[in-house]
Amino acid sequence: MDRPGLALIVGLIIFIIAGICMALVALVIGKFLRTSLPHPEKDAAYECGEPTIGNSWVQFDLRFYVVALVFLIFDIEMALFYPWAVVYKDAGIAGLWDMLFFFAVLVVGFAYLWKFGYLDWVRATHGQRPSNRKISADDAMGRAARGWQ
Amino acid sequence: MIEDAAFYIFAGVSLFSAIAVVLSKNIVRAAVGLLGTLGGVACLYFLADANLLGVIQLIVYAGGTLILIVFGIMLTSQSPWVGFLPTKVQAIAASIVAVILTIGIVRLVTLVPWAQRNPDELSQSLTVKSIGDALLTTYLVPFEVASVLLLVVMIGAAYLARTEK
Repeated sequence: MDRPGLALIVGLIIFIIAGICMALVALVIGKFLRTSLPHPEKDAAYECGEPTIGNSWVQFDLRFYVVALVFLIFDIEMALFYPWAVVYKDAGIAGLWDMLFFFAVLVVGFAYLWKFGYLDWVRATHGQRPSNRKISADDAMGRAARGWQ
Repeated sequence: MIEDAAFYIFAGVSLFSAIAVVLSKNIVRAAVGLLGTLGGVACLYFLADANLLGVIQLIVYAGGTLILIVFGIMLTSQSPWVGFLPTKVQAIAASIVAVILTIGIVRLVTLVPWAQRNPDELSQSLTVKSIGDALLTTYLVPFEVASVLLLVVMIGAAYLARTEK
């Protein structure tokens, strides 16, 4: 235990073993307590009554990608927050302003994406009011649902 | 002793995951193998007391970039068993890049005078606190400029990936 890295690793291993044991104990106790009533419906991917439609390997919508990109940007920002948070107490009010400026620049980008509809699921067309947008999304969903039947 | 064992375990995880990435014919399995590689390398960073580097490896690479790769697969692949066989030209080009990279890494490892470095001094310079101090004093301007860079990336990427509707 001469280096902090080793204590971290040992702690992690204990944590992982304890976590696995928690799940195993719960499953073993459940195995003995529950009744067994097998049914083919229970083996379905979604047991909650909704029949699955088609293959799960569809081509995903490109709009997921924009969300993932924004996530990645704020992910990097979070990683840069870490060293700042460690020295924050010593840095005082100047450190707070430094990070607020950093954050504000990114919020400008986020506001831009939000304002110009990059985050909307159904992208607004020009001149359309936000209230109309919701209804048109609902209609598209309704049409799709009727198409499945 | 335990530290040596941990090093070999994590290095082995990284290595075998990397081999799985290269050998897997299925692109989704290759992505999962990449998760093992990136996670194993992050554990090696933690083992070397490079906490910030480990955290960035976990958050940005294993957490962010890999999700983006999986999203890219989901956006393009039409079937779960989509073939992923490289052409001959691609294989040759990849081999050349791998050989050059290997030569560079080997040269780097042999050129750096590892034994002369003082371990205490080295781990002192790697602490998160000293990096945070440097970010808020010496490197404050590059740090703030980095936010502008991220802003450009965010808007540019969203503009390129937008849907025409």
